[in-house]
Amino acid sequence: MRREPGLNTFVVFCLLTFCLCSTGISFAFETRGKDCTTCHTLTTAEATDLIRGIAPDIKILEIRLSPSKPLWEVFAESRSRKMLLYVDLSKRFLFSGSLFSLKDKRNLSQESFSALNKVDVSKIPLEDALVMGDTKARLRVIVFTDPD
Amino acid sequence: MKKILEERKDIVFYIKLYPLKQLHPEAYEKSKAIVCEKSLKLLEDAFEKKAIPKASCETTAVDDAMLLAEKLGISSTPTSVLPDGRLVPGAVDAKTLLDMIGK
Repeated sequence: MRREPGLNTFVVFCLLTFCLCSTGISFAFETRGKDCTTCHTLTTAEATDLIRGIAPDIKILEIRLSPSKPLWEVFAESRSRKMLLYVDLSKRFLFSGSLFSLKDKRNLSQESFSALNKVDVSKIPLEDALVMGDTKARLRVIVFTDPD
Repeated sequence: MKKILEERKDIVFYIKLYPLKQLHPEAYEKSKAIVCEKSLKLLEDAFEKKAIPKASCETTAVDDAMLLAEKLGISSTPTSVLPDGRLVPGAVDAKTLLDMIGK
């Protein structure tokens, strides 16, 4: 079957544009996403050395890039207190505090911290606990509270 | 909690008494009294600053809870422990807690 040359050119043009644009866009996002970790690293030993000056008995538990890209999120423990610290990529600055997403109005540090600092629920005895709701309910939430 | 329980029948709350002795000197004795009776009514009375009777039993439950809480890194109250083990410090509103618990 013979095709219209005009239509053919048009199809090729569309495909070409589509390929260029789509790869262009995804490529751009990928490099942006990967950018920090391809050029930057922070090892546990390095983080220990960096933070030891401020907290001598620091023990690094986990390191990952923070949701705000140019920061390392460092999960650590000092005097049996777990904490989340931030080290900038230049490794010259550290801050301890909360990182908020202004767009979602969420405390991202709090969320990261709770996800990293999970406890083993099965280790909490419940015989002496007060119960609110049906004990057969699927989801158990344990609340530690002070009566005052 | 009551609001959540009205909405979701698949959630149950277990309340552990964790007196912050240094902040509230009377909280320890009150906690014991509440644990002895296993009474939500007494807990509510305590929240409302009503006088509650002295502990009617000898129990180590409160001491155990204090040791455990410290070990788990719980330093403030209230702190909720979600089904997956995440800790949620502070009093949070029903919607936030429900979002965190998930389906």
